[in-house]
Amino acid sequence: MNEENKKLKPGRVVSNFFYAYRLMIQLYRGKYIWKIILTVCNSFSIFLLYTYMIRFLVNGVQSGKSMKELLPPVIVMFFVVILISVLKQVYETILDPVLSKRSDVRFQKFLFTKSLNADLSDFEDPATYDLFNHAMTNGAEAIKKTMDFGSEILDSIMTFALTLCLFIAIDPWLFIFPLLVMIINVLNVRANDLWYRFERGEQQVDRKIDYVKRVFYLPNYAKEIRLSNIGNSMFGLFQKAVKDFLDMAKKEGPRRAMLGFGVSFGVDGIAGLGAELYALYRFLVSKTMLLGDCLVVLRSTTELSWAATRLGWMFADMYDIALHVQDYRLYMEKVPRIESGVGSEVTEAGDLSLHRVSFLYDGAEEESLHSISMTIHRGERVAIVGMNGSGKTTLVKLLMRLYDVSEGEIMLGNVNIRDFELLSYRAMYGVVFQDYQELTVSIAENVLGRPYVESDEERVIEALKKAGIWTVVNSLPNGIHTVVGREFDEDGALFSQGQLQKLAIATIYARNCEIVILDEPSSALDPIAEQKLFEELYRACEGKTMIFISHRMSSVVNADHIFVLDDGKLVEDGCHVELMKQNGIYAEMFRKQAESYLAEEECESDEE
Amino acid sequence: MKNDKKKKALHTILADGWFSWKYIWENSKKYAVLQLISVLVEGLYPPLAVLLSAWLFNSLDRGIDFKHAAMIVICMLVPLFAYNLWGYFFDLSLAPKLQKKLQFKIQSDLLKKTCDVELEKYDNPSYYDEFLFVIQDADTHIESAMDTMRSMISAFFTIIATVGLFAYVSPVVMIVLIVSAVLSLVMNTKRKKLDYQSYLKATPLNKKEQYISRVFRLADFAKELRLSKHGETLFKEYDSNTDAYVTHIKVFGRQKVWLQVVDSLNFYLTYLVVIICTLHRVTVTESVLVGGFAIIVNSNWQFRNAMQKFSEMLSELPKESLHISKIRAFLSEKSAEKKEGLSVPSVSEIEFVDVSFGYTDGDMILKDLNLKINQGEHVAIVGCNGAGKSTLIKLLLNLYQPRGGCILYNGIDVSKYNMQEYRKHFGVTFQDYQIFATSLAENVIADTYKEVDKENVEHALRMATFNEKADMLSKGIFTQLTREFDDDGLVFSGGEEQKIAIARAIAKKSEIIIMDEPSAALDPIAEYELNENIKEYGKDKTVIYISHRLSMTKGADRIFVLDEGEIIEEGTHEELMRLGGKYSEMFQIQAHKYILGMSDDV
Repeated sequence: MNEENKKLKPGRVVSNFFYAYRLMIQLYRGKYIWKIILTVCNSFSIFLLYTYMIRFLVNGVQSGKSMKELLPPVIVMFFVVILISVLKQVYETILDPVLSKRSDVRFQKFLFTKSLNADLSDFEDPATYDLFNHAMTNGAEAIKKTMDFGSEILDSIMTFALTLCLFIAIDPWLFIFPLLVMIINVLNVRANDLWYRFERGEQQVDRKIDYVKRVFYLPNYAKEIRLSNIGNSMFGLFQKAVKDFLDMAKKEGPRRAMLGFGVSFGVDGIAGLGAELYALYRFLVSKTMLLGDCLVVLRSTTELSWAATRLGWMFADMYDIALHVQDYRLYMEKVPRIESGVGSEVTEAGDLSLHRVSFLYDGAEEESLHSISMTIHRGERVAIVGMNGSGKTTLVKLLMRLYDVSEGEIMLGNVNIRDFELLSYRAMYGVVFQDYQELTVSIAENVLGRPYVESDEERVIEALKKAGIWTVVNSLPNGIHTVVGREFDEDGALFSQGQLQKLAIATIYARNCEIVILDEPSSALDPIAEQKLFEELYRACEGKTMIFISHRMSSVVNADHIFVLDDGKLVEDGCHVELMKQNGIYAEMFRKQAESYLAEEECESDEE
Repeated sequence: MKNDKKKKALHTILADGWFSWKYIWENSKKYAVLQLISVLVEGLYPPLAVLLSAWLFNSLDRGIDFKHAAMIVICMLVPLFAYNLWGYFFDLSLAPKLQKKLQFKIQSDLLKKTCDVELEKYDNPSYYDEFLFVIQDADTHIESAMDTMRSMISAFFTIIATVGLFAYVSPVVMIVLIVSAVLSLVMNTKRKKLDYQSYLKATPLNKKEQYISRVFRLADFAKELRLSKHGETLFKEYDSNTDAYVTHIKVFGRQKVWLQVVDSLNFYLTYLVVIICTLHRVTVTESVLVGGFAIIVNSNWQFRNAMQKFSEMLSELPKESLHISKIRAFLSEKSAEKKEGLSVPSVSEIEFVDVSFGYTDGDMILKDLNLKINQGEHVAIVGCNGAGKSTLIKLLLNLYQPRGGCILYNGIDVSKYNMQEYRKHFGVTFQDYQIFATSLAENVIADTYKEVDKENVEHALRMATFNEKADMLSKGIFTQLTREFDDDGLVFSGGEEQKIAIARAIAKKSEIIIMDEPSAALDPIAEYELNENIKEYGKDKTVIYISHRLSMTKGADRIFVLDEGEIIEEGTHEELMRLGGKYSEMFQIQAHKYILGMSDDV
């Protein structure tokens, strides 16, 4: 997403605003009805207090009215203004925060649901993930800003309209001056364009500076910084970012300042002065205007030019907002490709079979998997082996329907997996990754993978017992309801890496999954811990289908069936003995890793 | 943080403010002078404008002719234009440049300083929190401290000038206004306090909300969420959190709304009194001309704004001062990372003598550890997870200091050496290596890239078996890595990143090489090749290996087995196998399956 080809046409800007408003009306209706009412009341009361009342008083004094005559209307005006103000305070301190919170939550939930239904590929493809993240954060913020934008506009329009009415009431010719203000402010469009470009440029520079700062203060970089001169390279980046900024500022600065000053000169020097001289003329020479009117005219021209400038700023913002909304819209209009089947829920796991399955990542030129046919029988222990980038992980993702095949089909028993109800199909799988991603919810809910209900207690305890972590959990003050992690609960439980792995194993027991996938679960473990882990996993997976991916060939030897992938193709399959006989890639990989161990065997046998 | 609550003494606040100005003055005199001019312009223009309009209206009331009136109006424009001209040029043209330069200066000072912070301090959460607090936005803090003072001074000018104007209209009005302003100041302080309490109460609620939103947004959780119904659990949590939040808003809202209502009553009623007084002076005693109204309307605004700004800044000041105090403390901190010290000769031997160490005082990770490594040796350190292997390396690099015993480099305690020079003797691949958002070449050379480095980079990549991949990239070694700020930046897989980290250690051309789990993410073939390459490359270098894959470490000249912080076995592979201890147990567990597997080989 280059800055240049992200330009929006004016039509698109407007359309994005309408898009945002439609969404806002659905989600924030209650809040904004109040907001509109109060905005109108507020601009009315400011007008009343600072413009209308002063005119009333000065004209009154000049035409010789007494204080007794003047005071009652003034008090009435104050009464109205105070009433509005009290209403406004109540709205701002109680009503609005509550309504906002409720509406925000509605909006957030809408976003979360969208995120849950999004394809996994959205998270894995960097460009889409960027878009997703922008949509979720800046995009959603921008959607909300459109409403503030709306009420600001309303406010400015109110000020304009009220002043215009008053001017016309005083003298219809006066309306020329606000018009002049508006026309001069058209110049602001250009100023805003400059401002916007500058802002964007600065953002990019700041992004680099922030990164450099992060590298220096985050602990994960601290060691490398101290052991190498990479700091120099980072300083270079910093320096260049600053230089880029200075170059830009040197070029743009005077232009921006001239334009800004030009507009204000025009407004004050032409429209303002014009209005003032006209009013003075009417007051002094033709004597057809009262002093109060004159005063109001003088004051209001400043007020109007303010309103106009503010309006101009807002239109500059408008483009920025629309740009963010665009990200949001682009993402939201993306339909998830993986849809739930209309068919039944999975009742029973059968054999998994792949028929000529191919898979092509978005934007990739070559297929990651190419015409793969294989069958994984129910209850089998299966290993998938291959070099980095051979497509092992992709294959497993296809099985779980985290991605859908590009060609071919995957069947569970006799049913295409696309025909099953998606959630129940996925629930059939249990997965143990190298790092178990625990959530900061209760232990029970972590293990179950869904909200806890009363009747789950036994199941959870049973699973924890089988995984050998029950004694630890039981000793915690809140037992299975203890929150995992201290993120926001001081009483949360902190587990060691080994204990977390046991919790992961407990999920296999508790969730009743039929097929268990192990994705390099042991690559960070020492040999003894690794052996223990595998023993426990084998026990937990008794009678279940087990699929594992590993670089450690030793953990593969015992598999019932081994599939060897190379460059996206299934090149060999069979049990260990068969594959060693074939003397292909598998045998090569195995021997490479076994070489040194094998020498050991010789050495040992020598001793015997 | 207790410090936040402690009242800051006035003199520290002043000292901190003085420090900011001085700092800016020392680094950019031009900026400091321009800021001072701004204070005067901003403070004095508003009352001047009021004065001029009062002059106009009073003249009108006295009856002057059109020509004179027009002259006055045009005269009024002169200061306005001057004010605007200054404002636009300062804000849009001068300030951004000077600001950025200053920001660079401040940040450079601080970032250089961070490199001197001992790694040990990073593990201390309270130190690290403070450290983050200082470093994250130090530039903005120094500037905003100055801005705050600037705004206060200019607001102060405005206040004094407007009060003077009111005094002209009527002393009663002046007194009423001052009383009301004081009242408003009190209300403001109360409100601030309430806001702060409310903020504290809401912090856990906000944290939870942010956490939930993070889970839905981050890629780390995406798989897990799709394979379970955790989504439902989180929605449930979110709902209960929201209910708590709404209750919280209502409770504090009910307290705050009174303050707000009273404050706005104070404002409007004062205004009403002022109007009545003025009306009285104009109509009854006729001691003030109609121009008084102009003064009142405009000054009332300005007075209010200035008061508000002043009180806002007043409450900001202690907060700002806290930041500055911390920055000052950080900048004057003494560091144990020595820049001076003995120069470092080529290595002949490294020795750990009775070294003990723990990250916290209680549990020791290393206990009275002794080991010796000679120049040119290839040694391996093996042991269970958590045995202290990586810690040992950190001590050797003097990233941490031992709590007991000492580490000798050529017989001299390492802490006596010039630290930067000392570390140049080590090329290290860490287990938690990092990839930087710069070119591939700079990631390997770990310094600013120069043309002469080309060969070195290519050699290192070849050694790390990354050369084929690098050749395939369209920009070769100049490819930008990570998408940090380049959407076209390249993101590599774990195995590929590991190879880059290995290349980095090799490119350093140091005489000691340390590899901590270098092959965890590599496939068997790549692992094998890497192993061969390092053997070849490290022929006359000292190499220290850490790995769980005992096949990698088997060929070492000496193997140290670390268990619970102690060296329990030491020797060559053959010796240790004969010993039949921990090492042979671990090796046999790993070898067992391979041996079984190979026995089927034909």
